[in-house]
Amino acid sequence: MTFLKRVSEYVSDAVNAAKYIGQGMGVVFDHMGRRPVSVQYPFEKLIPSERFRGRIHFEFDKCIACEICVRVCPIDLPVVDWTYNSEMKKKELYSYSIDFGVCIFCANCVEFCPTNCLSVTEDYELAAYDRHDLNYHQAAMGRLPSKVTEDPMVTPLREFAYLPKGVIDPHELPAGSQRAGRRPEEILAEMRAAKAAKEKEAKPTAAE
Amino acid sequence: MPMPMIETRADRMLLNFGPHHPSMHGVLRLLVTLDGENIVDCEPVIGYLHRGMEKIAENRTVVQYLPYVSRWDYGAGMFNEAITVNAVEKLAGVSVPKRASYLRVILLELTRITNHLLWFGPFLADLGAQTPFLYAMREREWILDLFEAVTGMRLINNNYFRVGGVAVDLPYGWTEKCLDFCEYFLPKVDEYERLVTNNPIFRKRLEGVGVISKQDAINWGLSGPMLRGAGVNWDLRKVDHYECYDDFDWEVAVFPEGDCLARYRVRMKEMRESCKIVQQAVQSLPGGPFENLEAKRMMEGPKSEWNKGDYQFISKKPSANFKIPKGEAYVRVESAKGELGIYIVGDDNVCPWRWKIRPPGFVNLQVLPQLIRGMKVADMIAILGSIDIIMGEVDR
Amino acid sequence: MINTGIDLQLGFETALQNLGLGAGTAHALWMPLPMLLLILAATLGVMVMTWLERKISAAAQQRIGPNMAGPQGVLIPIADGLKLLTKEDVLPILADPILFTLGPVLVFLPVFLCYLVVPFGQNLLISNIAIGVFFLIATSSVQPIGLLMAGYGSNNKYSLLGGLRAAAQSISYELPLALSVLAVVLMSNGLDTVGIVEQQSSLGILSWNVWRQPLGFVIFLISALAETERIPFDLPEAEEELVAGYQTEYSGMKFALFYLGSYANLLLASLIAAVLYLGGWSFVVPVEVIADALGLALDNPFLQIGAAALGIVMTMVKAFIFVFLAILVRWTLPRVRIDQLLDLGWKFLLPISFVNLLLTAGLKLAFPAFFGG
Repeated sequence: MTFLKRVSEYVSDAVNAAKYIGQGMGVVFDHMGRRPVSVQYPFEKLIPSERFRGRIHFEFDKCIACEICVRVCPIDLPVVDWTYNSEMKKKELYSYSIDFGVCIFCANCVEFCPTNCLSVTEDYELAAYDRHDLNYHQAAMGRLPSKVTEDPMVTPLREFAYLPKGVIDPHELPAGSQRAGRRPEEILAEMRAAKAAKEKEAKPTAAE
Repeated sequence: MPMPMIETRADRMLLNFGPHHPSMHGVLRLLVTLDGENIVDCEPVIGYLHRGMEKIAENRTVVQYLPYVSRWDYGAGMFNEAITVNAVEKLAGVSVPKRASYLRVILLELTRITNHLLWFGPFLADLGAQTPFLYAMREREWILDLFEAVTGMRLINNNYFRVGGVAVDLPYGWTEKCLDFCEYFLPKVDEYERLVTNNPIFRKRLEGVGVISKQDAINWGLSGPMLRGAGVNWDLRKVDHYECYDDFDWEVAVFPEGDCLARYRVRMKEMRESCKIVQQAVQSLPGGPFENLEAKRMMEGPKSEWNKGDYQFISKKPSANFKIPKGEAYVRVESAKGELGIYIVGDDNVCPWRWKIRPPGFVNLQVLPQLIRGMKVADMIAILGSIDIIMGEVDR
Repeated sequence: MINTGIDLQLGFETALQNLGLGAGTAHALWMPLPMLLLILAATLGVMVMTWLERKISAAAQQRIGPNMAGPQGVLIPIADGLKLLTKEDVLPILADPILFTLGPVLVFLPVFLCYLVVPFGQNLLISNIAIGVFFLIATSSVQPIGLLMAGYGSNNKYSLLGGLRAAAQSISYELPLALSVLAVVLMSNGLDTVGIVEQQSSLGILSWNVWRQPLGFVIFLISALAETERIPFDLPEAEEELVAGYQTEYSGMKFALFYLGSYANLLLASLIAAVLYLGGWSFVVPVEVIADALGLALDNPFLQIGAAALGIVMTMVKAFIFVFLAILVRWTLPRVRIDQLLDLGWKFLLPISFVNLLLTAGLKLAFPAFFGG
């Protein structure tokens, strides 16, 4: 009797095992019909978000050589070369450089810069054959970044946060589709209209 | 009674796993004494990723140090930022606006999900199933996109938390996409469970493997899923009532078995619970989504109540010379891996006098030799995987 | 039944003899041809399989997989092969040079020898020896020796563990494999592979062995997966535990031999499964029925060519069903532990395959008409 019971337990175990393995294989098999989620990098590129902290842009004329960027930088990286011009009674900037081979792109310098002469760009493809090529001086830092959306070789893809509501796949997004969320102006207009309607409603009652 | 066995004498073999080994989670090194396939002893060697994070903190201002901290536990960088600002806030008595607190919770819980996804994939890869890794990465990508939209960086170096709040408010439309993510993510967790949880091979590899008793778990100072997987109902989010976790309806994931499977279950449940917290936090965000908040501000002008207090994302922007007052404090958060603590000693200076990090991974890893003695080589990999360590925070 | 089939050998040899060559020379000229063809075909099959593995795993993981080397990345296996050919052949200083070199050869050779008895049609096999199935099992048992040599000769602890695991695994799964095959042999009253197929071909799909040997079929599949060392039974190479097991120290052509050998082994196992359980080259409906329906005589040369082509296609289709299944399993399941592996082999599959054998023998006595009396 116990033998039969054990055999039946064995059988039911085996059947369960087969069932759950089959279930798992079903999940994997089901994925074979789904669209690949990968981004084919050199041909497709994600559009970096507007807050993305890439290579730092620098405007020479705005800089007042206050060196706050050096103070807040984790490794005191920016090299600010200036002299005190006694005629103008101002600091005069000679040169400014950041070594992007060392920079960690935390953008503390951008955040604390009092004159906004520093800004972040969407430029993240900084690879170079020589690491010293990454030491950008003011002219190199003054260059504008190239845009993914303007590169004819590249299919730009939107990141998840910039897709319309309810959409998760950036491929084959209809042109001109808006990102999720409404514009504040729209909401403002709506709120103004609601307020006006409320006031209109309130007036007759006040007259009575 | 043990079965009578023929006594065989075999030389023991000293096998060196790591620091370069596919499943040593970075640069952990395990000197394992083997008797055939059985592990007789194990000696972990750490320190291959030591970067002197505590010493670095001693000569950095908070603003300077913040970009560093996400490199401790680089699987879940935002927790490190949270604890760093919490330490300074506690010592300096800085209060955090309600909205900022909500924003922190949303991002921390999303970070917890990324961490658990980054655990789930490699853990199954350690067991030999490669495909779930790619699935986990797929979902993680969405969270990283959300992070990039808010903080400007994807996984680490978010540099988003600030003393007194967060660096910047959410971008337009982010809340809707965040809710979208939660809606898509929960069925995906079900899918993982269908693929993995009941799989007989998976079950056999994990059930009853690496068992820690409740008392042992407490004695070893374990925390996080390791502790909750041993049946101890201890979650700092419930215990310390920090940030605004009390505003939400969620459960602590506790499973009493104490084996690898229990830890797996804890993490799977935590992902669901975190998702629930994110959903609630986004829906009850003080001031609502940023676009509404801004419209209200535009409507009511500069004296609007929406410009005040609890609807700010930061109480006051810290200056570059923010001074840490004299005194000492220990602060802790429930990071994805357990209790992440900072013992800070201030000296009325811009830099802290002492900055001691209590990383959960380091403490949890200590129990490893205990667990794998007498097990098989394959079990060692499974147990190590179930502990969920990141060598960045173990070695610091 | 189409018994004659097409006799390419006879045709070739008479053609040569008509050109004025002696019978012996003609035979000698004929002999290398099928062997060459088979080696090429097996290698090509391996290439197709590596490509399939990449593509199927990519699809299962929502990726695209190789797509740059040729259309849909079909040239990837060639790139692989060229890369391995041109790589430096490293021989570790402390390795045993003889064992280290002999290992991959001993792993590779038996697999290709086994292809000798795999039939693709009535006469489409290299040698129809009477002990075909026995030859298969015997030859493939040489493999673990090669694995052990490789693992031991590498002088690397990971390799050693991998080699030992390979030996233990091969030995424990050879038994259920052989026993499940034995049940099939019992039904066909012979060890030759052609006979086994012919015994299944009377009623088309209905007479395939899979219906009469469901248990044996499952045992065979599991043991074959274990013999070919694929997940969930890939313990000897277990990347996450033993880095690459017995292959750890290998590079270049020696590694290529392992690689080729493992995929050729999988293809072989699939082909054998097709031959033993899914009626080999026979179509879903017997060819005679189709010929009748079309009103063609059985000795019609076009019908014969068509039937031979259909046979090859059917064998490959059936084999690739198993290949697909093995790939899907590989990308779904975790790896078992060594003790669980041995448990499964000795405590589960072995008794069940004995039961299966006994059951088959009993059924054969009871219903000789259905179980090949």
